[in-house]
Amino acid sequence: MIDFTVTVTPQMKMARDMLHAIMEKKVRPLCLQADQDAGYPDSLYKDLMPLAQGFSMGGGGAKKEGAAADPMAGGMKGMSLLAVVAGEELGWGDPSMALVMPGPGTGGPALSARGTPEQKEKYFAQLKGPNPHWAAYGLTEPGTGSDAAAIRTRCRKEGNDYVLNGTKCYISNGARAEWTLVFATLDPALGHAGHRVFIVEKGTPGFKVGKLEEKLGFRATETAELVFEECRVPVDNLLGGEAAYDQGAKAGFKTAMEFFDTSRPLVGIMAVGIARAAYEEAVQFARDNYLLSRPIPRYQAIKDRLADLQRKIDAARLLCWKAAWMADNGIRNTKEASMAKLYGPQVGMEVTSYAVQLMGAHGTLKGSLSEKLFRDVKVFDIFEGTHQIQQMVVARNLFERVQLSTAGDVLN
Amino acid sequence: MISFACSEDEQSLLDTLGRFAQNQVIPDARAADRRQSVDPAVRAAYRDMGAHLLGLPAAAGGIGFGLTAKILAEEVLSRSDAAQAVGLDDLGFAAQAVVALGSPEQIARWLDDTDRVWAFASTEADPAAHLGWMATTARREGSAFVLNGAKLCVFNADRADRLVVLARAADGEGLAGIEAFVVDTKAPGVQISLEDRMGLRAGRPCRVQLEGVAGERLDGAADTAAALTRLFDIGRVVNAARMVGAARGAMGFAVDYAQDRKAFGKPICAHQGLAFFIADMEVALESARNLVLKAAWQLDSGADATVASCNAAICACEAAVKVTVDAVQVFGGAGFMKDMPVERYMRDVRTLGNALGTPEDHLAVLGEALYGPQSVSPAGKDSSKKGAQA
Repeated sequence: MIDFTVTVTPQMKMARDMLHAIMEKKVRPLCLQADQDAGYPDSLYKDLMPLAQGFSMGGGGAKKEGAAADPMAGGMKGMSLLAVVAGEELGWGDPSMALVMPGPGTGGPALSARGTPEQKEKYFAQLKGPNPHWAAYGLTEPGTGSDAAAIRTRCRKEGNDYVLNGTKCYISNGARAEWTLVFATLDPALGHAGHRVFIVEKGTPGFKVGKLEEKLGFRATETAELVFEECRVPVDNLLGGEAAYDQGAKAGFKTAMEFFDTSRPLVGIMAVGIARAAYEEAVQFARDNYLLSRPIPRYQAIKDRLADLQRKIDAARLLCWKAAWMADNGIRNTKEASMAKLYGPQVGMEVTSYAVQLMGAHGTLKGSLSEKLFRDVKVFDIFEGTHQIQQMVVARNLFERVQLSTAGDVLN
Repeated sequence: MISFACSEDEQSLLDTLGRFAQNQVIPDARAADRRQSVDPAVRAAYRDMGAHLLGLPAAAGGIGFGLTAKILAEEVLSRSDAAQAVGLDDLGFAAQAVVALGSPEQIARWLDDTDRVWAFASTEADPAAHLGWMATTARREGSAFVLNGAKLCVFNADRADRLVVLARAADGEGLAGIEAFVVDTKAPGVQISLEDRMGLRAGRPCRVQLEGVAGERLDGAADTAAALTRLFDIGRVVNAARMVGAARGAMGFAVDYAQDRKAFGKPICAHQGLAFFIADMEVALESARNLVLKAAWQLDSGADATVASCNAAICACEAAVKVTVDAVQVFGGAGFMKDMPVERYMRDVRTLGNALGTPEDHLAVLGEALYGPQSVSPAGKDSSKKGAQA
């Protein structure tokens, strides 16, 4: 039995209210157009810079030691609950905000935790200044999604360089990134021990951006294919330096996996924010409109269904809060983080689908917020570990006396 | 007795349609979604088969097949692309409405030329308007009627020659007072604009605005409400067949992909979590499909099909949304990309589920059909407020 005492502190409320206000005033009015245009206008990114400077995977604007070189020093230590309480507003405003916010994005935590002091100094500095800049995280390949350990992008050492060959896909901000953390292997036969992570700068010869994906939802985000052909990267750009890989054979792969305990509750809560936004639209529609010849609230079945949905939203939110609270209190939360990541998007899908359904022919028109959210939310059940991967993690953490499939070993 | 069997002729037509769908509809599906139109060559091939005449009685230019054949044909086509199935349906519910509500003279006159394109306008643009308080009105002026109002989700309208419009001609509760009118799309006061909709984009969903437009009332039905009920029954089943068809299409892609794609050293379908997940999709789909077939069979037998069509439509929507959303899940990140076909099925099915009534509408109709008009929600004084608003 875990004593689960969540206190939403004044600092958390402030962060939440501030984010909510920005979403409501600046983002919501633009989000349907951004969905059509597959991106926000540059002016919005510039507007968001003050927020983005403090917002780095849950930094939430907090000042920390050593912030000059590394804005993410200390990672999300103690900040997880704050990030989750505030992060719900990102999902509520526009889910794409989780990725289009200028800054190091998903590349940040890995650089912060694994980079050498020189690497942090140099690459975080590249993202500073009044103009928006992004970084990216290049792990997924056409043949590897859930089975991230099976990457095929090759690296070989030649003098003071590594030479990369391979293709990465579905890389968020991949085309606009100043630098990308690229996962490669010395030899697939070596397994985890062969993995290396490189900081590849934009414009490095042999590195080019392939096609930009056209997507179902989450369309304001940029999703790129990255192609490496005899791409030379100096040894200095090996994340953490050569020594890091000598010490721990799995250093490269651990880099890919070690942030899930804090990132998964965040993904879960953004889906909760999406669900809340769609729920609000559905309730408003039900209040104002008719079914056959009666006001919608006169139909008990519909009220029951809406009540079910708000209950599920709250249940999902509490799973996320609890997982975050455990992280902040140094309690192992692998199972809880996965449950939050599993349940939030599931509820998000159910609520957005019902909201669209309740609004009938109006719900499927572009211009209905729920129409967009229905398309957006699907990916939350896929990235950061699919629904099925979360099920495996949860199962693996339930059954201690039986060895489950080996697939579980690489997941946490 | 219940039988889902087709005649030999019907089966042979369905086989031909299946090959057409495979060879001509699927290859153009992504482009058709982008262009928001059916390729003229695809349409010509469809018409050459006479498939656009399916479901019409022989007296109305039909080719001697029943509704079951029409419904199965829509399922076969939608397996490849529900949006093109809608876009190809040039006669569609409108022609069914002429058959259900027109006099023999009207049927002969209006359906004489089956090369014409028709569109069916029933869904109100005002979200607060519904069957009970239809905001589109028809006012009698001499022997003609004048229509005012706005409709949404009218497929093929901007390429149509004629519309069948549902409008309120007299006060009444529910279907009482609602009549169907034939409107020429070129008539003064008709404004048609293409909508931007989540799915069924090649079906060209349009908004139709009517301001003082002349319409001819379809006046052949002895009991208009009963004829409209039958028309909606047919519409529900055709739509349900499209949902089930699309879900079968997505299911096929998911089953293939699950066998081809490897993770952790084996095909992903060899992982129990995925295999059971896909098995659940199959159960949902098959049960919905059987309800659709039963409803089609019942329609053709002439029996009352309101309960059966509501059962089919509700179950088909639930199953098809689940199956198409889950098919995207089976594909993982790739499923979210437009390069893969599954996301389109998800959008189309969600849109189909909301066209011609939502599951909530069907539930309300079902409740009334099973337990009487006052059973679903008690009438209250607030229900009459809407009259003043609209």
